Amino acid sequence: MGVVVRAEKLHKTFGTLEVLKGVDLDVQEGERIAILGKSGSGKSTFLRCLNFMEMPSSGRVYFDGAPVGTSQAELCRLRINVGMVFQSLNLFPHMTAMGNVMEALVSVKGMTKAQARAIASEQLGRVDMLSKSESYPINLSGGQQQRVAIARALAMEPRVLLLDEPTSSLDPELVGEVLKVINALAARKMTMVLVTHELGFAYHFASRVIFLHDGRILEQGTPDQVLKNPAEKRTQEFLTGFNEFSF
Amino acid sequence: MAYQWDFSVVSRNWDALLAGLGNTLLLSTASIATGAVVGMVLAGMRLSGRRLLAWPAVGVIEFFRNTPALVQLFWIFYALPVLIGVSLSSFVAAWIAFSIQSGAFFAEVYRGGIGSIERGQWEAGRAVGMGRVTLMHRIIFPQALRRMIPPMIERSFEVVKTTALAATVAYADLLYEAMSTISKSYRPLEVYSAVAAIYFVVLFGASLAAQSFERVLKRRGA
Ligand SMILES: Nc1ncnc2c1ncn2[C@@H]1O[C@H](COP(=O)(O)OP(=O)(O)O)[C@@H](O)[C@H]1O
Ligand SMILES: [Mg+2]
Repeated sequence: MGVVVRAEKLHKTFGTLEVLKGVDLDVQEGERIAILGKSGSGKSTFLRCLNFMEMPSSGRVYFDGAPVGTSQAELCRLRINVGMVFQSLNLFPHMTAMGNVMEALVSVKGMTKAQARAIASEQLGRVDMLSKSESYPINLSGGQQQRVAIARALAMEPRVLLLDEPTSSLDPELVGEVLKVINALAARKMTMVLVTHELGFAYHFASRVIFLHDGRILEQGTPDQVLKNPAEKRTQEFLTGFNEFSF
Repeated sequence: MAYQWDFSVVSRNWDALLAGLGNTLLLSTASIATGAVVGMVLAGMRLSGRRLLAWPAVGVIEFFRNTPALVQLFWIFYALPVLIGVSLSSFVAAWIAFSIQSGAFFAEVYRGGIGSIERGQWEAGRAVGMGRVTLMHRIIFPQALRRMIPPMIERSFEVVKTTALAATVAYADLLYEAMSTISKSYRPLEVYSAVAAIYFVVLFGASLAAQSFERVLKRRGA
């Protein structure tokens, strides 16, 4: 057990808008962190700073104890180790499900097609998408696309997986199949940082819950602490907004 | 008095007109092919994010898009030789002029195609560790290419029509052969009608072929 990813005093400004105002976080091996917060509080920006989809304005990110530089080579290496799943799915539309998962194994990791296909088959099997492996994204439902996207991220064998509202763009009846896949990853001790509005899911999924407010971590702790007995008034207000969730 | 049509002038000079058409297609193909490469270089410079590269590219693109093709041709045929001390054949002058001109338009087609790819595609590629070159080559360009093909074809047709200007510097294209036929036969009505018909058949035929090509692409997904 150790710290896989560490964020230190992360600040991010867009023009004059200060979105992150100094966020620190240690992600321990095997941890499952759920990040909650109002829309616009900086959750996505924070997650995106962890794999440098956004360049932090200041602060540092460490991977396995070493600070991450900003050369393209270092960023590529970091992103192989810190995978990401997007709210907007973002499959490559000109490739089949199989092609999507194989692509970076070949073009980034330099595997042969046969090696890549073997790994991709295994990953697609895990998200129950092997039967659709030759389908193009346009012929898959949102839930199926997101499961392929998860397989694509996992094929790179990342040490940490970042998930930014992976079910928010899905029709309600498709949310369950994606959450099931994420739960299966949790059971396999995958280290994950998840931004979500599914509070019920976060409660059961997370080993730690973080409440982000206005670019700062306002409160964090176990799901019981943060979701059932929040100390901060803002957290309480936020939670009462979700009247329909139950644990 | 009704005009007496006599299309025998066309059939009598058919070989010359056909040779002219051949030269038109030669100049068109050369200009389109070179223009496609010039456009790629210009678009690459413009999208490089480096001012030292981007600004000259913008200069060339805007200059050639906003001046008449005929002026460009005259400048290269009559003015450039004064500067460089080498006179150019009418083919070479026209080739240079129409290559840069079509390159300027192609550059904008490329830029538009690449710019039309959603941000999420760039991010998905970067998120699996792709560097700039791999991302461009494997993810962005293949998708952009499908969107570029229709405007590229459209532009290429414009180039074919533009090459008729080369007749003004005595390049023996279809129009030039037509004019010399007329100067001998005094039958402008028949000859120009025939020339218009030949351009139409060639371009309309190509346009039908392009449409079925686009349909095939569409059927192959995305
Ligand atoms: N690329 C960007 N350019 C400018 N402003 C941005 C950009 N990305 C996010 N923001 C702004 O930063 C704030 C936080 O956004 P975000 O991190 O997406 O919040 P959340 O995910 O918590 O809803 C918002 O006000 C948003 O408009
Ligand atoms: Mg967000």
